[in-house]
Amino acid sequence: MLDRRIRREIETAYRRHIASGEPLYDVRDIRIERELDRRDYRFSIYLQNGLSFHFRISEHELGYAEEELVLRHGVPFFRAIEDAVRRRFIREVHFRTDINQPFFVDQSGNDRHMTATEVRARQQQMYDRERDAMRRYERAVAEAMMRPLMHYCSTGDFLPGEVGNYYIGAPAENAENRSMELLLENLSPKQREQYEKYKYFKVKGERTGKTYAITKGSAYNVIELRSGWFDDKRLPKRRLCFQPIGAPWTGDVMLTQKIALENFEREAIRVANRASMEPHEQGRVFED
Amino acid sequence: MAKQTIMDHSGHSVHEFDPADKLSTEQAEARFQEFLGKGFTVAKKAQDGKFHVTKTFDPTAEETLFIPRLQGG
Repeated sequence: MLDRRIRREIETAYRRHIASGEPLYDVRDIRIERELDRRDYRFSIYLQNGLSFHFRISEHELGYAEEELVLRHGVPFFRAIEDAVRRRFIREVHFRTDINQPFFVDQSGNDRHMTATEVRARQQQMYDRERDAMRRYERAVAEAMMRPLMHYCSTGDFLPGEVGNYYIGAPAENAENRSMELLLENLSPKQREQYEKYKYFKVKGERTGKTYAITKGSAYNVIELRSGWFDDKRLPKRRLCFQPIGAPWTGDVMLTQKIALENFEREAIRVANRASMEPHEQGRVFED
Repeated sequence: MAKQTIMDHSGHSVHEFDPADKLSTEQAEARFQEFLGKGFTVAKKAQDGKFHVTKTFDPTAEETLFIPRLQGG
């Protein structure tokens, strides 16, 4: 139910933006999947031009999105629920003579049982209030998710670094294949042989002479190999992650990493994020 | 034909130009300057197949690759 309504809100937000005259492509499909074990939502928006946008948002992040954005729309959903529960709880404690039969104080100050009609009316009132809050919440969540997409649409360019927890531009088959073709065209014969055999190729750093193995992938896929005189130089030291802004395809990322390390290693290492190797990877041998 | 390959969100786009044709060479140079100005790194492919970073337009380069600015992943 929630999924269907958020989907509708996303479509509405998107179409509203189309109406504003931005150069957009039509939405082909919107999918919302919920990963029950991880308590995550995964939203996918597929556009007619083949681009797709994917957002993975945890319930925790939804809470953040709500706090940040629902303020503009009114009472946050969770707070509305809490308030309703708290009010009911206070009444029950205050008039706790028969929990199963709610009491209330009438206009003349006397306690009395609510009639069945009054109970139904109060339930309906609470239901309406929660439904309104829910609608505002959904609209805010949809807008939060549309924000990176709107950024892309309004500038004609998107910067993955600027969208925080959202992941935009998941591999579309065509672009992905083209990027891999470009990579293979530009590897040296030895690197191509390595890649076909091991799914990685080695690159020598232009500045330090260190050897890096670039594995297939686009995040933390550059592995710096050990370089000390006492080290086995086929063993990994740490992982590095750097990418070109706005070119998210695997082949493009790998080609950029290769050219960067071969030409401007220092700059590449300066911007790169670093991670240590997982214990089970530390003995992995990178053959020549 | 010389080739300019620009990495972008669609995979990459390729622009070809004829170094003997003055007009298309001028357009290629304008494109070169435009992307250089946007912060792209420009690398031209040498005879040995390796890419070398350059900041000047070379109409004789058979293949030039435009790489967007790097960021930590």
